[in-house]
Amino acid sequence: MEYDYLLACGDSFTEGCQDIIGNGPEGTWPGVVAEHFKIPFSNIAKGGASNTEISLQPLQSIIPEFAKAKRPLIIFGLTVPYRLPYLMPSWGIIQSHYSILPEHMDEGDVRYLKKFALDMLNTYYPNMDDTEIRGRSSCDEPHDSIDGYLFATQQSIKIMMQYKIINPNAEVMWGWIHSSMTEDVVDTNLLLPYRDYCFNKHSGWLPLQHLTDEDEKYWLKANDHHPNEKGIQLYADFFIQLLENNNGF
Amino acid sequence: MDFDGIIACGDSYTIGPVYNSKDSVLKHISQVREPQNAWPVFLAKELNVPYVNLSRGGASNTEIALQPLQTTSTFKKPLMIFGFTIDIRYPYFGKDGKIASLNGMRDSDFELEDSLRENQTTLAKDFMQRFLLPTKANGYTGMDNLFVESVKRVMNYEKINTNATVIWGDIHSQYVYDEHRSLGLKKQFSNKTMSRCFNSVTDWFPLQQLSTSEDHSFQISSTDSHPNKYGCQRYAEAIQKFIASIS
Repeated sequence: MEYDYLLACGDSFTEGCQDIIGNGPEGTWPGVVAEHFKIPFSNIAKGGASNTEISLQPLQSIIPEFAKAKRPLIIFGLTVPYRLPYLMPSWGIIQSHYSILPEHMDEGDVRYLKKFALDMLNTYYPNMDDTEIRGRSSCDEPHDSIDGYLFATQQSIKIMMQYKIINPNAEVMWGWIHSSMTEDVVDTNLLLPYRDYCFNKHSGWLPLQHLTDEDEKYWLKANDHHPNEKGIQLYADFFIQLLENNNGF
Repeated sequence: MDFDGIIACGDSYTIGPVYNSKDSVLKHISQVREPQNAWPVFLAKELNVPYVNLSRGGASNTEIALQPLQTTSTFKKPLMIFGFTIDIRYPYFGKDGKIASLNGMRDSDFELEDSLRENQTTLAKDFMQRFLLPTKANGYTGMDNLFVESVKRVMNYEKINTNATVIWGDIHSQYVYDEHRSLGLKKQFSNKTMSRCFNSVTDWFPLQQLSTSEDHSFQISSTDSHPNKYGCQRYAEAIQKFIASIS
């Protein structure tokens, strides 16, 4: 394994629900992978992050020791498409509302966010009624067109790959971990021209969540499909195997 | 200072002079652009290095901070220069997934924006205009906080690529003859971050002051305050002076 640093970006499926599991960053899948290879790491994932926010996490976070790395590996764990990125007035940072599905629109704790989200939603999905938006957003049925939030995901992937240009010594991998369609292949329309860097090609083009979704013993708790310690180990094993075999490429 | 190319980021003050056509019929729809007379061109020529200019007219400070993520340049040791702008541009993510910026925050700006949008939907004016008010968190406005975070973000490029050098400063400003940023706001930056601000060579005035004069000889016209070729040369000289001061 040629890399000397692991930087992990993503949402709660990468952050590892540390406040609940209680094992700190070392107990998350990036921590387990880094321990296996005896390299330093930083897990800058954040619960509820949108794909846009995930793509910008390296610029918004303090990354200890990263500057010392000669050959860092950055892994981006993507998430569900229906999260709204927005700017936060208090701190000026880019963050995300975790769901724009109608039933979740009243749960934001930022005043006016609901109207903002609805207005922005309308720009993503013009002239669609609530039922149509739900169908597109939840991805219950795969569709051929790329629009709305899928555009945002595609743009996010482009940004993720840009870190290879910003730092020519860095390697980048990306792929879906969290998904609302765990039994479906990821939308291959989105992959080109970066599919060589997508780790889902080693998981049958399925999001990693499919590894833990099949059995409740990997869940954080009933009805909470976040991976528990056993689930986290499954994700870590996937990446360890990937990196031990030709560094994933 | 050791660098093999310049990555310039900014708004219309960095993109280069743009003139409306002199044709009375075409003047509102036809423009003559002079990217060859942008300040990054003059600076690159003086320093004898290649450059890329990633600026976009109307970009907000948040958008400017993210412009390097669009580059295709392969400089190993880039000098990344960020020319910041007026605060009253609200950044948001558009339906193409890219970051965009609202040109202003007045009611009329929203009305203009809404009229330009295909489906006539309205932007969330109530939410966005709250950024003009002081926040409870630190007393600064949301737009101040966006600027502070933008500067912190640009300095992070040096952490992602330790061979990169970042410098930044205000170019375009609504306060041409004032110190653009309050002392309190600047205290939010580390000494290292402040040492990379090129406004130190212009007594902390925005560079726009260099192209603003009574006879308008350094700007596009008496009614257009963007720098012309000679104004852009002045910007390049100031930034070159700053680079020399920290080398």
